[in-house]
Amino acid sequence: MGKINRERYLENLIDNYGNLVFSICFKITGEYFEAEDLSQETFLSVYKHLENFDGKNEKAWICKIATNKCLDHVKSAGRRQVPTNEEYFRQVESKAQSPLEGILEDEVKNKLYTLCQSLKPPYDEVAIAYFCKDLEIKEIAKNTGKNIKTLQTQVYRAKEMLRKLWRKEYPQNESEI
Amino acid sequence: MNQKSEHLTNELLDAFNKNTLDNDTYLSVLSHISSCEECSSLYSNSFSQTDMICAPHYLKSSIMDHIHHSNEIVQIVQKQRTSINHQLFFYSLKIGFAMCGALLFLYSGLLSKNTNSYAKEIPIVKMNTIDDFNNKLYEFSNKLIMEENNYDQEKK
Repeated sequence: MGKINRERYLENLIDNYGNLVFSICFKITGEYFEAEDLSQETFLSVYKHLENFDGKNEKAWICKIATNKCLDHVKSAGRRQVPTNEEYFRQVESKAQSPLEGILEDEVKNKLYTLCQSLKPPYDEVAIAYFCKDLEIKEIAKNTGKNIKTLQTQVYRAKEMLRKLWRKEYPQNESEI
Repeated sequence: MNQKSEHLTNELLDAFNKNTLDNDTYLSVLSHISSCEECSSLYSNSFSQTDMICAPHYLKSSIMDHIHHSNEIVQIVQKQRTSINHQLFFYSLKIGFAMCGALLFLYSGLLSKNTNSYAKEIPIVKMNTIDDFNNKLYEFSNKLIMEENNYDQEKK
């Protein structure tokens, strides 16, 4: 497979299974930005090993790679999330009450929005636009009149702050392995 | 659960999804999913729409950027390698040509011809004239020494 074909194939895989991989990673790690990193690692690994793929069940193959990355992460972190009974019943109840699509997603987005709001200016504004409103940096630059390089730096810093805040504000019930 | 031989049951997968397993079982299930295609297929299919979370909008672009960036690095390294190889090749070629030229020059008889012709042209310096010149110098220096001695004696 040529390099361009491989890239197109990968783009296709990301379009089809990006949400699934991210969901798996989020479910296992419980952290938004860790899930993002692991999803990225998963697809980079997929790209690297495309030659070895037999082409039969790409969903299962990608899922296998994603869980493998998560397993490494869980082992290296030496912990995993274990919800308390109260939390578990709250989750089940909320799912049972409104079996609509995107419930978990709304919850995650709300958490992310709350954290973005808690950042100091100018990071809060940039973070809300980039992480919650899904705007590209070019669009934010157009709206705010800021330099693209400045915005890239602010997004990077905001992400690091959000990563730490997520762990602090939504700690998992960690248990040593 | 035997990690290799036994596949996941629906109950176990359900408990895994609900995160109600103890640590060891949780890890062994995760480890099994990461190595068994059948169970990873079962696990991936167990995700309903309500379990799905939209990946960040920049995920795809960041992955593709990463790939392009690493490709660029690979290309730069390859270019550097080829330029080094080219330099080495041209240097070896130059040295080779120089050696061949030198050998040709040496064995073609050109050098010996030239040396013979030069040898004919160079005038043979007669050794007698040199000897005469040396003798005269010797006599002159002796005279100088003698005169110096005489002058010293007269002073005393």
